[in-house]
Amino acid sequence: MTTHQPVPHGYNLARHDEFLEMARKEIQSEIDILKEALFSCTNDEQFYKKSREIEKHMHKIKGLAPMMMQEKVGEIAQISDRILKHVINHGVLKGSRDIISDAVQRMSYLFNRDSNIGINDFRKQAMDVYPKIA
Amino acid sequence: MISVMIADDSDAIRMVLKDIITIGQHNLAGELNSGVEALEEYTKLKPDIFLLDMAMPKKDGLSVLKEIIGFDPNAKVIMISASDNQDTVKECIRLGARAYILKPFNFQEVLDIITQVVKS
Repeated sequence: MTTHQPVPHGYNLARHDEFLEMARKEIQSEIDILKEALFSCTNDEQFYKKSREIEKHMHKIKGLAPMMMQEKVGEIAQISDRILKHVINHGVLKGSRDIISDAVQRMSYLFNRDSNIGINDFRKQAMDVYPKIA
Repeated sequence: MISVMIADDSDAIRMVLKDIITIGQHNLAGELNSGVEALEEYTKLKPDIFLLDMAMPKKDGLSVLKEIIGFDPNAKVIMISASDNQDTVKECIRLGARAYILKPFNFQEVLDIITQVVKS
């Protein structure tokens, strides 16, 4: 299994734009659903109960974002997906609600406002808090 | 000409897969946005290849894979997923998937795998 640049040379530009527009709507929709789901969780226990549902939406962003060159959004989704899978498989995880909420806010900012901001601090935060998971 | 059926809940991904099928000069047998009617459509269309997304609402790819292989043990199903979890990959292969494509994928990679699976 290898990953490559998703858009080939010679790919019809109009189709590429259509793809980007479609993918943008889908990712935005997933981000909105995630925000709503997280808004209703006030602690890690509630977050655990909704973790399966949340993971499905995060997983979709993880697959789609890199295909529209939103690599940073994809990487945040990938790290978040690992944390979510751990929660699903092992139960309540201290701080998980906060870090996933932070991840969704960052994805939303990267996606809608400034795609140039770095994500090193998020990577570091995830690694510091969950060195064996993230 | 190879006939290919696709199932993915993402409109954007289905669009890319359809373009890949066109570029490869294959035939799009059918497309589904969920796994619910997959077996019925597979039975009706009998595609040479079935490109099947793992994570779909209502019925996921793994459940669909089990149904399809239960109906046709020689079915050539290629799983597509954003998950690189090795246990998931092994489970798909154990259940009868012929290949596993990781998102984000490359056009040529998908075409190469379709060719390999058809020849296998």
